[in-house]
Amino acid sequence: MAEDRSQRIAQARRLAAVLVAVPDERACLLCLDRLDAYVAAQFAQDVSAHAFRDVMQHLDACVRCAESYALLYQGRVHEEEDVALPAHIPDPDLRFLVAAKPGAMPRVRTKTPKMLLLESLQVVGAQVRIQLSQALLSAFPPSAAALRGDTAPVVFDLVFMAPHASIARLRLSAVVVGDMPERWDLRVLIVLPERDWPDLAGIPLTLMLGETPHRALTDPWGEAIFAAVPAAQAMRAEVQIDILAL
Amino acid sequence: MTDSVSLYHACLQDGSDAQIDAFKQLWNDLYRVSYRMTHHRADGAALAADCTQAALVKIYRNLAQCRDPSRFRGWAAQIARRVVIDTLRQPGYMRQVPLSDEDPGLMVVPMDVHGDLHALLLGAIQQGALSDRSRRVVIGRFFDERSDEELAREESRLSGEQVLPSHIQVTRAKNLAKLRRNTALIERLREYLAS
Repeated sequence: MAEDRSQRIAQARRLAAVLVAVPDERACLLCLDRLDAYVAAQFAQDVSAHAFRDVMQHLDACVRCAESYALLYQGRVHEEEDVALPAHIPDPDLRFLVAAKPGAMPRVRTKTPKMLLLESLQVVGAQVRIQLSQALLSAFPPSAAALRGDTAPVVFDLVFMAPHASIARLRLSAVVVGDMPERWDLRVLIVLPERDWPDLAGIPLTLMLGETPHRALTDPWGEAIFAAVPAAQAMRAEVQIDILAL
Repeated sequence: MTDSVSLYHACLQDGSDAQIDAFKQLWNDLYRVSYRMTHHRADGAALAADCTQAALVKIYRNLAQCRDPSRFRGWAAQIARRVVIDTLRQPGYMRQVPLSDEDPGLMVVPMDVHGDLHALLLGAIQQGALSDRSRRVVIGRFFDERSDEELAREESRLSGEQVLPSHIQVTRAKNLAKLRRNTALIERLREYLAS
């Protein structure tokens, strides 16, 4: 009887804990990182309640992650059912690979500027990443508008609307430094949904030039400048924003 | 079909035809993975193509993180699945199915439970604005400690339609979210857990 009573209490406390839980972005990311393994274990009928307790609790507490889990699970079901593919499967765009040997021409799929813009944006774990490329910059010719009264030539001006739920708008632009066309000032402007000047100061940003990170903090308007970046590197740079630092 | 180890090493050979062929093979494999997750959508084919393209780029940039080349295919497929999930979680993609309009404030929080948390929760579930299936999947998991696989088999039998464990999970998450809207209940639960 005592064992029954303690079991009832434990059951009730587990449910109560799920009901009062307020999942945050970090909890979602940790869950998403383990979903693949959880689904694989389910299909292998090898789910240890202990090994995946945190995942199971989060899925009960977070409808959004539960729906992501369902997407993954149903994808596995369809894999086993061998869902019919479309009659035509497009070709990949392999231009991101290092240039092939002369004479070897990879088949290229024509992409719209919007597709290039979306492709340049990734959410990796708790980071939003924008990967610049020659193809992307070519798709968006420089705007004639000046930035905050600057008269320096604008090399590119990209705007991402709501690239992440925590970011209302993200603007990447570059202007030539003085009379040095091989050097650009790279500007990153972040607009957040519920914060405004001067509360946009201090957001950490990372600019990856190759394997080398460069860090800057935003000013009260939400803008950070990476000054005098070599143009050749800037064209392939990656901007990283840590969502958890917003 | 090329084995994982050979495929992995071919992907590393910058500037070679072997690398191009390897990524084309990956594309074919991963497009299937992505499409199985997106085919239910009207834009499923285009979405699968965009996600697979993004996955290829991500795989190329992170090849060094694949520590076991014999599992390269599985590693790549995992990246593709995650790209699809992350894409569909972005604003504008995820269909927001609203919860019922039933007012959870009408749910009564039993007062005569003599400090019995189990009875309090059972009462809230049984008296709440939940469907019979919703009650079964919440009670079945938390009080009967049944797995979602068992619950799915039972619901499939009751409805005559295929119900997956994933359906059970989403049903339960949504109905727990409904219970969460009963602020009086949540307050009582916090008091219990704090005591």
